[in-house]
Amino acid sequence: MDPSTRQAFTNWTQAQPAVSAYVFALTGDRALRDEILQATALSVLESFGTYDASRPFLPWALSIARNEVANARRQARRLPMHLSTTLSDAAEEALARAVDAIAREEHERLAHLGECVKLLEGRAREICDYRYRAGLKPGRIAQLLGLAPNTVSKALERLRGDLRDCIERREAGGAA
Amino acid sequence: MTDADRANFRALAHAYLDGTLVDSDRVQFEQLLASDDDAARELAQLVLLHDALDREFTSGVLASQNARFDTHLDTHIDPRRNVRATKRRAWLQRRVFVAATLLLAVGLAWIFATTGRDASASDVLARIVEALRSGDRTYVLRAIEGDGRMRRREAAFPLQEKRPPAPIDGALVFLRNPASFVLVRRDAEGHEVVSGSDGASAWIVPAEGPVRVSSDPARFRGALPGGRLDIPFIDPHADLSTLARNYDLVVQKPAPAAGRPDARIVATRRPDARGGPKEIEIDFDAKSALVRAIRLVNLPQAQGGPRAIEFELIDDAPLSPDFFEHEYHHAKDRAVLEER
Repeated sequence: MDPSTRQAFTNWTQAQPAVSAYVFALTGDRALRDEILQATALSVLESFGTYDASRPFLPWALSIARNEVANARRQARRLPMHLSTTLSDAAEEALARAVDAIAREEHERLAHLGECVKLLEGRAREICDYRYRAGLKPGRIAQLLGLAPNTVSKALERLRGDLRDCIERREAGGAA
Repeated sequence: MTDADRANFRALAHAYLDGTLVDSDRVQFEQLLASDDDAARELAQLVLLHDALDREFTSGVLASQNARFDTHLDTHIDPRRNVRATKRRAWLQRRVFVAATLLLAVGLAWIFATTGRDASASDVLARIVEALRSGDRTYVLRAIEGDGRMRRREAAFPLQEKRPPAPIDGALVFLRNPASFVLVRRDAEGHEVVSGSDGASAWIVPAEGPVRVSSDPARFRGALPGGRLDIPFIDPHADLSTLARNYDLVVQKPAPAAGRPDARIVATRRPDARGGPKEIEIDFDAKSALVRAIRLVNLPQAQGGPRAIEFELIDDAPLSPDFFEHEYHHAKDRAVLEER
């Protein structure tokens, strides 16, 4: 492996979680995210020669990912439900900047996520399972659990908040 | 950004990620996101958490836990994996034939309408038939795991051991009567394959190689649910009397509750019937008779595989007039072979 390829791999490995999150946010679909992530990785490797090493890598990778999302949208015009979460250009750019700004710090914090998820119990854990293991949307979860969709949406918002609090507590505890 | 603004944006951000953001809120959401750094940071944090949660449940430690959700997952990889995967795909395709009973209601409608066995079922199913005759519909096909509600394609696998989805799982079926369909699926290598018919001819657009067109409208129905059983999934006029003989129908009216279907037909396999799912559920809109979901429940498990298969309506918006012609689905310079 030549030094350039090795450097590309190293940079990509560090950037990949943030790029994944960004693509997931733009597509809203797990399978599409993974496909686009693969395409982005290939593009990064193929075009690494054009990357200006004096500039941060993540914004460059995010811009490539955004192009891949745009390509997927063009190719998938008959699959509108997979790409229903389109944002305006300005919003996509703003999100990319924000992801770039916090990615490293958040990546370290999210190392505590697994421990915090294990603390979820009862209905919160059940809803989390349906949402993230099964990939179901709130309306469908509500149907399965006999709840109102808004109840499930609120529960998801609450449990994510609880997870965020748990992560911050553990981060603070580890830092203390 | 005030605390109230922040709370409002946070709610919009969660709704966005969960796919529940309504159009009337989308503009405000995007404007805030684009113009307020705090808002963008708020969403970025949530986005990173959202993706990490998804990874945690599908490829992290949690993916190997919680047997309730993974009772039918086989995550071991061995040299027989490819053989098993091939068998599984073949199995799934066979089971998918049974999915022809998506339109069981259609056939049964005629049966009951003509026999008068159940006036209320007859009326309901006749309405469903009429609804199926008009308009375009798009369904996604899901294989369902475990408790009959876990989608197979999106169930958990460790990332490195992720098995390719079965070709028909996750497929999209676009229907327009009379007798037009488009099936979008993946081949064993994960490449997209599109096949269809405009009612007069059939065609297939493989991932590579020439597009093939046949004057036989049934030519490429093999992968379409019901196609090989000559029970056209797409044709509500099909003779489904054989299926009708094997099932008892009950029209249910679920207690009113948010998130529940308006109405449901449950078809239960008769004791003397052989093969096929034990139960078929058809959820439909009570007012429009639009079929929203069909679940084939308690499939035979002798050879493993999903316990249920579901068709979920994802769109009933009109498709392009030329959507069912092959030219719509490939580049203009693609080679086309006309089969005799």
